Amino acid sequence: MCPDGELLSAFFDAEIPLPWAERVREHTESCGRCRERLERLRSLRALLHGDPEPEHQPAFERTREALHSRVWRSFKRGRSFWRTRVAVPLPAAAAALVLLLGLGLLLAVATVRLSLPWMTIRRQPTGVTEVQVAAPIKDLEALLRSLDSQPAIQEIVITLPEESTFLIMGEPRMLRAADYHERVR
Amino acid sequence: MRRLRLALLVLPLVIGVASAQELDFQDLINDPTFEALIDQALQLNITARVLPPGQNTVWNSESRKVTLPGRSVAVRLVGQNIRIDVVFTPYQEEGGTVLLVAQGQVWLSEAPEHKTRYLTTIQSIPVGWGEKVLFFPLGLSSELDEQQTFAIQLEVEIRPYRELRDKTLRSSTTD
Repeated sequence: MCPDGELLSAFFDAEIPLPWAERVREHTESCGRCRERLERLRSLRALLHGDPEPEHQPAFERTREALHSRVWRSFKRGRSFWRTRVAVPLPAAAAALVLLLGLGLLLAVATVRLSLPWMTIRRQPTGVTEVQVAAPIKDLEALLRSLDSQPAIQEIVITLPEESTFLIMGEPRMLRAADYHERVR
Repeated sequence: MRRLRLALLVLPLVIGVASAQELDFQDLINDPTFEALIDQALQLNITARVLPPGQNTVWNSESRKVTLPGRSVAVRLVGQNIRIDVVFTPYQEEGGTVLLVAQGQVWLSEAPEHKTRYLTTIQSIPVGWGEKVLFFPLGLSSELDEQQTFAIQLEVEIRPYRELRDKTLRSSTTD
């Protein structure tokens, strides 16, 4: 049985190991058809070896020149900042988005807080009283400086009428005027 | 020349800053830079009265102070044998009402030994806008009404400053 084309080509290129190469050689010696095929392969190799190598240097130079001039042109023209592409990994882009959203939320919360009154008292259901201080002022530093330059307490000094003698009548009291007038009646 | 121009530009700023430091609190409230303050500002109308038995006022003194919630206004009453310091602090409550806190201190020299008595108190009451509150630093006793002594009464009324300012501006433009 004759070896197929691939096997014969491999034998011709001495790529078949022993003992298979020996068996193919024995077969080609006894088989005229296979000898002919081997001859064709031999003459094809001789033809390929005899053909001169093509001249590639000019083509290589042309390609190099073309690439160089293209790069130089784009460098001279300059690339627009808005057309510049920046490769950002998806997790980094997602993290930046989350950070931006967080900052936006903080800003919104701060704005709402600033719209609260200056100082408020909130009574918690637990009975705890909480004093909140919020400053709806654009230039808080300037305000604090101005307040610092003022006395901490605004004072009114009243001189009582002379020749009046006062006595302590009891515990100090604070009440609504309406309640007091009701009581006096 | 360039330096001179720069100096001319900076000079009004320097003058502005220097004069701002001399502003009193009323001016600060009226400063357009602090327009947002006006919504928070409160005016305390304080009337000190001396009441003899029978409750007819024999003497009174009226004062006004503009302040902010949490910022105190102190009233000092000075007499022959007495000195009274009352510190009123309004706090804005969540519901829009005001909690008025009064801290009182009384030094009283009593005849004939001239012993000095000292009394201190802190009291608070929630009040609405324009509602009048009375503070009696020497106490209030109906049993003592018949005695020949004088009671001291401090009447406090709190109003939003913006409302009062707008009213004043309206009346000045119609005049």
